[in-house]
Amino acid sequence: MVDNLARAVAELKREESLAEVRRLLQAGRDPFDLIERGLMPGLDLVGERFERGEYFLPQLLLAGQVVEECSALIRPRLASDQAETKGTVVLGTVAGDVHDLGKNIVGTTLRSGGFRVVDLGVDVPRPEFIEAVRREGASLLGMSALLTTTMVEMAQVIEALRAEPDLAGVRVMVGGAPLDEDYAARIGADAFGGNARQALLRARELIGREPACPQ
Amino acid sequence: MTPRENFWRVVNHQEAERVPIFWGGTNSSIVPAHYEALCQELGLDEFKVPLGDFGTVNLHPLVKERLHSDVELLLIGAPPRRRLEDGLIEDGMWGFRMKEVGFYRTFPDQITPLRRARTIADIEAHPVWPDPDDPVYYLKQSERARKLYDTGRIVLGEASYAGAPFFIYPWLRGVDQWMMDPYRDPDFYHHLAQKITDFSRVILERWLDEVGEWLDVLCFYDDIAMQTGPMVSLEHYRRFILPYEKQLTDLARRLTGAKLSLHCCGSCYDLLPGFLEVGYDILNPVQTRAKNMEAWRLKRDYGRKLVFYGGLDIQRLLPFGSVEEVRQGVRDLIRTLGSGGGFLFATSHNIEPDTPPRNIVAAFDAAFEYGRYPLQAG
Repeated sequence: MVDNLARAVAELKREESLAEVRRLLQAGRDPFDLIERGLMPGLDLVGERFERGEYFLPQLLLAGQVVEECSALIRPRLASDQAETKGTVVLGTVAGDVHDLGKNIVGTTLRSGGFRVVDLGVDVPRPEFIEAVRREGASLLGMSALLTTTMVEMAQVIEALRAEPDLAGVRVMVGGAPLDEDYAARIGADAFGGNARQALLRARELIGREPACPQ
Repeated sequence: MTPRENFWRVVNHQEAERVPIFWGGTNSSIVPAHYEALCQELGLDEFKVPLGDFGTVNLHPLVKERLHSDVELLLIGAPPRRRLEDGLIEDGMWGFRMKEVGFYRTFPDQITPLRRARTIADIEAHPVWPDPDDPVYYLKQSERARKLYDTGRIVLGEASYAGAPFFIYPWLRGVDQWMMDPYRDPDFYHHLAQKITDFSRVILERWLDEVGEWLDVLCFYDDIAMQTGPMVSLEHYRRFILPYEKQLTDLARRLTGAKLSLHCCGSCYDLLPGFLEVGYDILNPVQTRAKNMEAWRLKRDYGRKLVFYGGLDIQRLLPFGSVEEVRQGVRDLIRTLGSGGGFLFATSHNIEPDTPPRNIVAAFDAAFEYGRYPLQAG
């Protein structure tokens, strides 16, 4: 049962999750199902528990690792059409800022959620965001900042992005401690990702198709 | 009443002459990149190059005087750092690495020296550990402490990186690994945490032997909270962090009569019971914009048990408010936290480069004006 996989992921049981993935693959279950009905609902539960204050950073990070390890077992078994991603997200922490814990968790969550994630790292100069979005054919740009002195850089990147006619369809999501919905809207972002779970939900709304097994 | 006499009444939860102004610690100062702008605002042309990883630690006495500060900083000595070929700075005490980015010195996870360590042997192989026999930590500290004490002002002792075990752990290993190590490999985690604590303890003990009797406050630092909540649960804190912090505070209690302060940024409300178990008297920097950290909530729930050091919002009010809004914010804060003592006025962290200098001056002038006991009502 994929429910067991979801539960094992939600309970952060690494060995059990990996064993369950191996067992289900051996039993001939559709590998895509394992991701959509096992790993993703498991990760959703982790996100819910985080939002309810039952889980904290260690649990988010551990869950991300379990899902990445499970995905590594599943990915080679996916049919080529199933291996298609939900879209590409370019992620980075803006220039002048190197805080990346939140961004990394968002990256892991998006990757687990079926997106292809290109992480540019920290202290990313403005032109690098634009170049990467174009080069990678990204449909979503995600930016992070922890400081009031660097969050203003996000507005500059958005302005630069909007000045490129060929990138008109690219959506922007921002996140970071000093930000809120208002600020995100004010600088012209399409969405505010307050935490990893919200970021995944927003990304799905903005560019992804609906999950096969909505929670 | 000297600033010290005033302080000791206030930290014992009594109203005294006025709310002490606690500006000048490593986490209640101004980032070095903005120091010159403040000096210019104050008409001070001659000042030294600002020093400090976070806040300016060599503030000019005239700057402190103009901002009505009551404190004198006594910072433990430190071995020299060296610049590596790739432009990074390597700390001479623990061997962690810093990168200069924009206005700041930062500690990215990717460049932490023990990032790839898997075993206890890997920890032991790390080439830079503190040498407690290095006189650099203690040189002339006793003499300086005595001199600061004789000013009658409040002596704020900071043992820097000998008082911050869980700054050092993530700087050696990365924040993400620090979060996961206790669950993935408890033996590894406890070995590294104890090793950091052991070195810290020996240095702290020898430093306090020199300066303990002259200190009014001794600061420890462990950042374990974010804007929206603690990074870890209270249970995690009790199991994996508290036992190490307590080794340091127990030692400090034996060697100094100073009040013990913990610096923990962010929304740490849910961890406060743990902080009290460790034995901290003072919480800094009281980031009042973070979740559950409103001044009224802290005062209502912990006002008799903890002294609050900090509180003036540097995330919105100070950088983006008008002078009038800043003055009103200071007044509200002092009325809420200062009532009945137990409040040391400071910014909720080091003042950032996007802050208009006139707001800084307005904030401290307002604190001086509104902080007189009895506090004005209404």
